[in-house]
Amino acid sequence: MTNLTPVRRFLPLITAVALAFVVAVCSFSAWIAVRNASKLKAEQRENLSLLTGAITTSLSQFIDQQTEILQVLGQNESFQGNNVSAIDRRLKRLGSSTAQFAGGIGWIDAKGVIRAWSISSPKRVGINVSDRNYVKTVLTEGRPSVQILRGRATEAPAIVIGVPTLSADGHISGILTGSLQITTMQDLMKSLAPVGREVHVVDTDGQVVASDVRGSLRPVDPASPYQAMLAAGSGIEDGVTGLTGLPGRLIAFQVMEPTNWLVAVNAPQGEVYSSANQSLINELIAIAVALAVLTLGVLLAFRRIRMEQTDGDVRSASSDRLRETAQRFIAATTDDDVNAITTEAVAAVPGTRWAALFGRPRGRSATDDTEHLTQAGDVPSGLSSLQAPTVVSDHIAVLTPEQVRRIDPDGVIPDETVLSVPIHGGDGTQALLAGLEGPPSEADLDEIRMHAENAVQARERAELILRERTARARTDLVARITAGVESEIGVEKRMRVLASALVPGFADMAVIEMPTSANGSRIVASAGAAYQTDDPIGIIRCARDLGPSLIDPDDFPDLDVTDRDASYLVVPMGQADDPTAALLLGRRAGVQPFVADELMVARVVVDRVSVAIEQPRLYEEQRDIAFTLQRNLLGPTSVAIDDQLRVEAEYRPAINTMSVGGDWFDVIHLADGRVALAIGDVVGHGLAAAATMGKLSSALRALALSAANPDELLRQLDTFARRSDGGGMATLAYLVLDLRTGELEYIVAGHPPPLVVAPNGRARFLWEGRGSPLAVFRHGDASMASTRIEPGSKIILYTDGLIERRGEAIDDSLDRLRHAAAEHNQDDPRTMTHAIISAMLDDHPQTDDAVTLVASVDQLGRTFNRTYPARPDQLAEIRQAVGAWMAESEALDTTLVQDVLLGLDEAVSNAIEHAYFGGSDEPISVVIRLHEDSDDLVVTVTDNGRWRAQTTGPDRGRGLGIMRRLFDDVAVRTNESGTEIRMERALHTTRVGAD
Amino acid sequence: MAPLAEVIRHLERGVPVSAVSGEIDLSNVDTVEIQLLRDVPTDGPFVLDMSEVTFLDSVGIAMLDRISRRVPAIRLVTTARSPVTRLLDLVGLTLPRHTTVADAVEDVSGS
Repeated sequence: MTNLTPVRRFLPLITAVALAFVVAVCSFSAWIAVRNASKLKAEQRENLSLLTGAITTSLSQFIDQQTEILQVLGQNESFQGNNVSAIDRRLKRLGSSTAQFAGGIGWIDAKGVIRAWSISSPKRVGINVSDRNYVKTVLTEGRPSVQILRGRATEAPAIVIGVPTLSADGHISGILTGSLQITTMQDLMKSLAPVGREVHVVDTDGQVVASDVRGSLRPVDPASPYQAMLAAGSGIEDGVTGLTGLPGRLIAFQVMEPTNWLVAVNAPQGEVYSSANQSLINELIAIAVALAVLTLGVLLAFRRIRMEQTDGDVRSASSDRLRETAQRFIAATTDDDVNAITTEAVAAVPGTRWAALFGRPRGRSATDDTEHLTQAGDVPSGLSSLQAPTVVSDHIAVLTPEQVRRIDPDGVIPDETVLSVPIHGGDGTQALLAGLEGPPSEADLDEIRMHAENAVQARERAELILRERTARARTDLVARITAGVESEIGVEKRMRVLASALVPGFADMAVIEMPTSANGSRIVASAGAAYQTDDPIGIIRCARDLGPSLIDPDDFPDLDVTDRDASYLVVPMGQADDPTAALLLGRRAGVQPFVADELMVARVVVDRVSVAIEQPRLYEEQRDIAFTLQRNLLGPTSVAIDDQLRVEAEYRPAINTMSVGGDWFDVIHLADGRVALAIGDVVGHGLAAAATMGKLSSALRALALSAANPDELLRQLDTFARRSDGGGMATLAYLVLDLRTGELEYIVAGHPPPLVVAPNGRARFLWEGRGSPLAVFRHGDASMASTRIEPGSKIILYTDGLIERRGEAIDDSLDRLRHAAAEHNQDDPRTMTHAIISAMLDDHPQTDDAVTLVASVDQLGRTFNRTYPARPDQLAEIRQAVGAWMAESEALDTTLVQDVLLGLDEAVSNAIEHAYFGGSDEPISVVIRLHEDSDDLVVTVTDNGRWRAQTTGPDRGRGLGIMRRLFDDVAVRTNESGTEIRMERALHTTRVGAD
Repeated sequence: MAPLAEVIRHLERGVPVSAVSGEIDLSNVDTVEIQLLRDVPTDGPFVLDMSEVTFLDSVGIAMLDRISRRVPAIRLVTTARSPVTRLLDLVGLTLPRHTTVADAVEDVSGS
């Protein structure tokens, strides 16, 4: 040991420095990872706070809107005086139009006594409610008040809004009060809350309204930091007891103006942080693995240098071989490499004929059989078929003939001397067998022992490299999928990205199923396999029953996969017992089946991605909220008024924009067979535009019923838009169609012109009645125009998103629309709406939201439409009512009226006698349509009963005969749901008395 | 509620005369029929005055059919413009008709 080289002397120091460097780098990385994780947590908290702000704004706008509506209604002169019967009449008329006030609208006089209520309920009227807080607030302070009232035992809690009404001289004459069901607000809260989040509202009395328990109030939990939150005004509380007593909550809160209610969005703390924690764990694992790999590399290098330095101690030939082998071991990165080097090295030792290695490939379980892995040298044939026990001996030893026979009962090994070399490793011991020419020398045994030791280290290193590669691949996979998922908008698109990112590579097929509202489920994405989107294959059920698991389809027959030989794994997203979606991955037979470790990978991927899917980024949440708000406020997309009018509307948001517009439409059935069609567009985007739109549409709905014509409506709505805060500019087209006559009155405030398509397909724009937009509108600026619509025409309303194209002149855009409408003039308004949208937008990127509405004017005329109980005593009443209704048309002569009454009486008598066996309280519907234009009259009598088979007495035959003589055409149609008698006759032909 | 139809009976020159006014439909046809025929011998003359009937439908026709078979010597009284006349013409029910009670009594007692 005297010839120590300088390298050797400093070797421990160099190694120590190298190791210290490695540790330092890894610690630094770990510090960065921890910092990132806490940043991610802070981001999540920030998101929750901003989300709470957005929800608070929406809710307060919702309350504001309802208050505004009451204020608009309260300005009516009937509330100025104390004429209670006028007020009562007014309220009863409003009752049907302001449906959101499900509890009714009432008027309380200045003494606090309820004097009138829109919903007939004598019990309410006359009660003195002057002790209620809201009554005091309104009467003494003259400002609106909102209060949540706990209902009596039979009533659900309600939000009661009161606004002052003023007498002509400006004094407070009383209170107009509207009662909203608490569920209305809860539904809004629920629709605004993202998946997995609850929204709570606490009113000033400390009552909690929760988004998840409909129709109930709970006292705020005393253990929650409610008082502190109220004092703070807004902020976030972490790991506290929730307002309803649930532990471990993360709560973002804000006090809502002007009601002083506390709005809190809360979530289980662990869930919000899970993605941050998960990514921290992943990174730390990767760092630990890197640390181990580097350390081992340093140690191997150290060992190699030491071996070089101990040259003198080892015979030179064997040392050459050892050195060469050691170098090869250092370069080896996989198990196969290591195994091959080991056998070749042993086979190269003098006196060794062959070497063969037995063991289990990595990943196999300890109960699997060992396999022949590699061999080298002059190997006896048949050796690879041996079933070598893993451990033949604990240490290097020449096997006794008895031991050889045990592993080689068929005698394929010819050699007398068989050496057993156990190679111990982390994942089980390998057995190396070597055939020797004779008993080995100590030196040869030493060399073989050394190769074996090196092989153990090399295998550990290969394992670490594999782990590191897997971890990196996993991190890459997760990062790639997360990035891909976040680049798409919408849950289903994101699911499709997830499925296609996993195939090929990780799996051969991927299918994602989501539950549907109707207790079923459907496939939302699939890759590598053709599964129809409408036919679920049981993934959700499987995930719910088994949780994340490897699955053999034979053990779970409910899983309806086409390839039953493949290996499968299933992972639920969200809560395992109630998943928001579930992922099924499959690998074809023949490829290595899924193992437990890969199930872990799939779970990590799904955990990370489901966070991205279920908690879209903030801007998207805001968009979603605005979108929900807008959807809640838009009119119904499909309306039919008897068989006179069919209206279909479709709202199509712009592609790839992050904001929602203020487009809206509405269809309002006015009195006397008139229908109002409205379409508008609030300038601007996002939550504010959607909220303004909501205010305008609510106000329009309330005003439409009392306004005498479009002129008056626009004047009132314009006043409202100016008065209302942040109303902003808005366009509006408002049309009132008289279904009796086809008379159309309309006014257009800054909106693109409505289009009318005649039955022959000729399309014309309505260019009259134009003025500037709302809130810019000057009185007298526009006045309504009118035109006549013939039956079979279509009225098309739209917002500019349908026609606008960058770089195109507006006249050209309108021309395109006119042609598209004429070309796609179809009977079914829904088909027509789709066709127009498709023709206008399909080949062009849509830059703005678009609403398209097609109203199909099918029949004009007056309609009598009532339902009566099927009793004989109703006949006289029916004749009386129809007689009076017909008398309104002066042109009809008495004989015609008598004929119609007689025919109708026969038809109803028939239904009473034959469908209801002489009488019942089941309904009979009587519809009479009078088309004075086309000179005909149609009577339809419909029952829901079952006609007795063949009661062809003389009476019935006579009744039918009378109907046939009185009308031009009589048709009787019977199906399972009942019988319809339809009778038609011209109005102005005289009929001979008898034929 | 006032009944839809009212029946007044008297004897005119020994002939039973039933006068019905108002509306006859499914709800009251049975009552009206019983009231009309009260104390009317089936083998003698009978005058049914329907000039004040404002509404009649197929169940009323069926009633007239039954009455005429039970009391063959029946005379109806209807006015030219009454709905009863129109309906009788429409269904082709041929019963001896007169426009006044006096004519009907005259006719039926003379026969």
